[in-house]
Amino acid sequence: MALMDNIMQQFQNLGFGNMDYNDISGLSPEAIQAKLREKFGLGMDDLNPGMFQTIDQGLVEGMMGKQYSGFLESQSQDLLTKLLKSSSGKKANQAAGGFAGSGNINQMQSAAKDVYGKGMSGALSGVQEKQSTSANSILDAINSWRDKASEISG
Amino acid sequence: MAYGSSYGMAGVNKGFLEQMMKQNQEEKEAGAATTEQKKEMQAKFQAELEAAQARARKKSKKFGGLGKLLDIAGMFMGPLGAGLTGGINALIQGTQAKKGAESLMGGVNSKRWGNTFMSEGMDEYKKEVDDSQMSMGDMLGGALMSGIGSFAMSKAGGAEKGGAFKDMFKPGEDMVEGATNASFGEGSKAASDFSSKAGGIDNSLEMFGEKSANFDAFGKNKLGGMPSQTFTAGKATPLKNLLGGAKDSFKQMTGDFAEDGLKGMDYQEMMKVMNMMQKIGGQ
Repeated sequence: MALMDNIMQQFQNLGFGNMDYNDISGLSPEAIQAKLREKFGLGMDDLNPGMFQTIDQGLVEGMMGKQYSGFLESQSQDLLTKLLKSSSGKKANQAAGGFAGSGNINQMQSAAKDVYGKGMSGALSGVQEKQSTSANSILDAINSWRDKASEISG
Repeated sequence: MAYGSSYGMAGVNKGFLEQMMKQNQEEKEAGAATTEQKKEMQAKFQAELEAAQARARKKSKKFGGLGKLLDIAGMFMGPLGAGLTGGINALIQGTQAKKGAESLMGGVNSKRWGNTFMSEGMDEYKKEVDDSQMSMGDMLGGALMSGIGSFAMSKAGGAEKGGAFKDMFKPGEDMVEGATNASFGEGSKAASDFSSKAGGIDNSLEMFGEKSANFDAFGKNKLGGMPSQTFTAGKATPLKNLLGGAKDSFKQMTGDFAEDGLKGMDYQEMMKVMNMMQKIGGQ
């Protein structure tokens, strides 16, 4: 994911070195302050730790998609159940006219797959949108660190 | 999404929105902390500048007393003496300017502020301080020119009186030969003393009288030689005695700094300046 690569690149540019995604939320305001002070050549008292918001673990998980795995699983299960129901049972049998491979049953199964596909693609796009928003929020936070240090350094 | 679990999606949305709201709130707090930090830094910067200025003002008052004292001392030194002490005062004021400039920068962490958003303010302040400070060379030049100018002006105004003046002139070994009838103006005791000690200066020192309107007083025709020949290095001359006395007084009053500053002055160069100033004064 390009956005996530961009985030890791930003960390490197600020002098954090090679970091793992799991390290991001572990950065304390003091650690951020120290790195930016070094980066911008500022004095000890020029930056205040309070100026730097930390990155919440929830955001990192949101970016990684971990937060949504349960949702997607349940969503998939729900849709599969519906799919199975629609491709079998009384209605399906009626549609098939008692014969497998009839035109009606094929139409019925195709419609069920569409329901599943649309449902899952909708869920996935919703999740991806949230992943992207989380990643952007992390990027915004990193940029705001730089902007604040830059504001002080003039 | 209409086909999926609306409860599941609602839960995800809720968590996500909460996360975003938390992040926004933290960002606002960080922004407020930045504004606060900037205000604090500005206040510290201003406090440092004010403290430095207060210290400079205090020092300035301290030196002001010496300047007044020198003005009083100059009253007893005759026209040239008064002129030179005027120069000394100017030099001391110059020294004050330098010391004042140092004081204005003292205690101000210019390196720190110059590295921050206050760098513009710091530069402005430095510029103000620099403007108020003359270079040492300018100070010395200005001081001597001021003194010499004072002398020329006092001569042009006909002020030749002064007891100390004659004391500053000692018999010159190579003082103009054949010079007679020094004219310092009517009834000038200092002039006659000078004249007699110098071995009977006549037209040579018309520069001190009304007749002399130009620096030819030290010129070839009237003194029998050019200033460069007249005031030979290593030999006692009236002007050398005068300058020596002035230097001693100067050193007593100002310390080694002034002594060092005067060391670099060449008598001939000084004579040129004096002649020039005298010419201006005579006109």
